[in-house]
Amino acid sequence: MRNGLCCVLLSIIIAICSFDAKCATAMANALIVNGLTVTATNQLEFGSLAASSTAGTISQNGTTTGGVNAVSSGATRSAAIFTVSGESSSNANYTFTLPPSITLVSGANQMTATLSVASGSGAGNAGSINRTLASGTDILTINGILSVAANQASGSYIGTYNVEATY
Amino acid sequence: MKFLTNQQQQDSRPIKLSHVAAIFLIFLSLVLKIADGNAAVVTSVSQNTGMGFSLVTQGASGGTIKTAVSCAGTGTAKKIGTTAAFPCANGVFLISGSNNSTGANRNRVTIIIPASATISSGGITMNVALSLSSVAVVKQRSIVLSGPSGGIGTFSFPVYGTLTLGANQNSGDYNGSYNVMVCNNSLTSC
Repeated sequence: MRNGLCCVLLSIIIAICSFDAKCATAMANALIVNGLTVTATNQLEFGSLAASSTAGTISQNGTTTGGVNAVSSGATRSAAIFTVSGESSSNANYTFTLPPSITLVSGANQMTATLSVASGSGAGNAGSINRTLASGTDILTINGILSVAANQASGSYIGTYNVEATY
Repeated sequence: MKFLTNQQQQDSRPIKLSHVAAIFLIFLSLVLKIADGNAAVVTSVSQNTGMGFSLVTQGASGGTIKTAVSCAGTGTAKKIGTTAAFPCANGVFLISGSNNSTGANRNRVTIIIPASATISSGGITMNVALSLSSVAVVKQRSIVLSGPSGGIGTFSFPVYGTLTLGANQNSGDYNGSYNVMVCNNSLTSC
């Protein structure tokens, strides 16, 4: 009787899909990728400078204005560099978020530096910047301009800031 | 002369009841096909385009990706791009059938899809809700094949998918399949 039941069921399936209906097997796919990673590969460094009775600025490449003088000794000036890594199989767009300014602190004294993307999409700007991964990687150089007040107190000024990269 | 017991008589029957039932069903199918003079006869249904949800990034709270809206995401699910292997696409199918020469339903057929499919990667699964409509859940649809009476008719149709990602969905290459059935409109099974 079991064999007979199998025959009946088989007949029903054949009747539905072979005689009066057609079936197709369809495919579906998706590639789920992890979020982006951001690595700081170089710090923003303004080096040593001498303030005066006149306010001024100094950039990460040593360019000065006003009464600020760049001093050759001390830390090497450099732009900040961030490496953004993501999905390599697609040149995906993403958003890089950079604060427009940061505060550098030395004890009770402060200075402010403005930040901007050095090149590529969003060059010269801060805030939310649309960028594109090239084969899964994007390298951003961040420039800064430090504002130095008249008779700015001497000291070692340090500041931190957060950046974010999201698809 | 040979005498048989009742049990021996049952065992020696050349055709069992179940076999008769099977033969009857096959016969019934043939009769249905012959009596199906007012409907198209589906000759093939094939997938022209596989359903794709593109490259998707997940998030802390999950979300959905819908092929009907160019794989736009909800929640923390977001399409980040496409490749040849991972396009954003509805499933697209082509039906071919013979239009009967007479009758109001000479070129009408019915499409049936399952409510959902599962795609998986390394034992991790995601659900894909399927629909024959871009704006509502439609699992069955009666359509009319193109083409002249007595000739070959065709019809192309999309299948829309909504992929549901869980919170922090595992990354990976997810694949799966589902079945599409097309049959003559007069079949009660449709």
